[in-house]
Amino acid sequence: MKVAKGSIVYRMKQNKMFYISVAPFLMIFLMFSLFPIVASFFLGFTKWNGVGLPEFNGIDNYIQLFKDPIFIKSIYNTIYIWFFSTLFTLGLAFILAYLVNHYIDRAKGFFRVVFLFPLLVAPALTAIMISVIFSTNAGIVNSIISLFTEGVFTYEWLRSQFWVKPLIVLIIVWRWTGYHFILYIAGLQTISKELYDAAEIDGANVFQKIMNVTLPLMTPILLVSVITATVGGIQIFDEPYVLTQGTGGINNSGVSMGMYLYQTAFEYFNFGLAAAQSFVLFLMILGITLVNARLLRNRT
Amino acid sequence: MEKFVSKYITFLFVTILMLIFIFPLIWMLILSTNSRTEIYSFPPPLLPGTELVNNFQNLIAQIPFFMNLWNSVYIAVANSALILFVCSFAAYGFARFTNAPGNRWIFAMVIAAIMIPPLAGIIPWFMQMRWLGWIDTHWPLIIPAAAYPFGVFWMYQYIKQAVPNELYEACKMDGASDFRIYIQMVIPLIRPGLGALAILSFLNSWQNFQLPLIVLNSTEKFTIPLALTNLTSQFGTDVAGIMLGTSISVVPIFIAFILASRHFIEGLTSGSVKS
Repeated sequence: MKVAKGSIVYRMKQNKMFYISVAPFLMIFLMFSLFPIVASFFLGFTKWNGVGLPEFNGIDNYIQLFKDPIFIKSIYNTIYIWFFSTLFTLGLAFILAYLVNHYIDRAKGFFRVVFLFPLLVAPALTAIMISVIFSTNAGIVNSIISLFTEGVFTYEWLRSQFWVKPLIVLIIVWRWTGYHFILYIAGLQTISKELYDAAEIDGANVFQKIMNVTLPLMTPILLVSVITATVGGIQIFDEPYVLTQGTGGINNSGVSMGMYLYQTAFEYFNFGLAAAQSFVLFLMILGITLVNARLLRNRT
Repeated sequence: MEKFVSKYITFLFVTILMLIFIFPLIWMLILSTNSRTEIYSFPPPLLPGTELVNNFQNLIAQIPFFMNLWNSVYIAVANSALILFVCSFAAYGFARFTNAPGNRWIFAMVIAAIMIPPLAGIIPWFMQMRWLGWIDTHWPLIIPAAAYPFGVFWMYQYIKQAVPNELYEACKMDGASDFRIYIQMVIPLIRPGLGALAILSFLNSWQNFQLPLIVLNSTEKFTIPLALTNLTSQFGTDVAGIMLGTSISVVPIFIAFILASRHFIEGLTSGSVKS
């Protein structure tokens, strides 16, 4: 068969190498990324313990989920952890970056390197480190407090319903501040000194300069940084899992959505319900990301 | 004078904050060289001790540590190598053959996939692994992660910027095949981009905890994070052993980071440098 010049088939033949080069990626991607997500959506409408065939049960899973107090609690915990870790990480990183960029001339590179150290430790291992630091009998935190109290202070941080979440937030802040700090330093360096000088002539103080010069120009970088923190924060698993040794903490005080999903699937073998949970998680990340993008765009 | 004082105070503040940040790491090193009794005594040890060798012997008596370390190393190397090839090869296709039917919309799909959270498909993914007989093997940690959408995007940008279109034409004139152009011309030109992607994907794999937890069952197959966290639950509190194991798994990375900090920073932050 003769193929007309300019037709699609002709162009495909001309560009044969394109299809060869994207084939390995596409095959792995379609099979192990796209297909599981599509399948997960359908699995969310079934009851399945992993053996035999899934059994269609409509939206029962979703009804069951939103009646389940632990699931509601896992949503609350996840939002708590996400919100406070993002707020503190980004706030601290911004203050640090501003101070280093404006007041420190020497050793900038040194600070960049040192603040990034925690990111090189696996999240699961940072959780172990924090649990050692806050442990009841050998923890340095209790030892330091003991210096100021009578007798030895033996507070059980890891068994406290209140402190589990702040400790998880602490792990995230410790690990990620350096990362956002580096992003902000790079952003701040692109803002020319003349803009600040002009604001100064107009009589702006430090906070007015930050509000009116720095933040608006940093919006694109802030957006990236909020989205990175959100996508990671909502899916959080390693830190609560290791910190609570897989239990979720006393009274599920430390259970995140990712962790409850894991328990539903791999401890209770309710795969249909777990698939519905992962779909809720997916929608939440999508929703928060879109809202973030819009909010930050409106401000500019 | 006022400027000087504010500079001085800021420097002090940032330095103190930095010390707080690296304290847990120093504390980890101190604990890994002290004995159990020293760790549990009051006040706790603040200086390196003399029990390093002893702690190490305890550690390898409890878990197959060298095996776990080797698993982590080879999985991370194999996974990263695969990512580098698969992603740069696809990126070469996207960047060079802009006329190929389907190029645009396949690329749009790749970009959209960057935002997809990995947890979204975890249940069917696990079933696939079971169906393939890959449970309690290392394949699930090497093969599926090779399709890394961000890696394609990152390499695409690098190729677009580093390889001018005329170069392809010139090579074509000389009779080089499309595959040879990729191997002999494109790859050398995008080496810094590949380096950053290599660091990023190596660390991702090295630090991975959830997927190994889901697919691995036997202690000899465990990777380092899984083996060490298992130590907490199984033996109560061998704090020294866990801290020593953690130190061994991060100190090489710290050294590599100090030696090549510029490349590490590029690799780690590459995920956010979207133009």
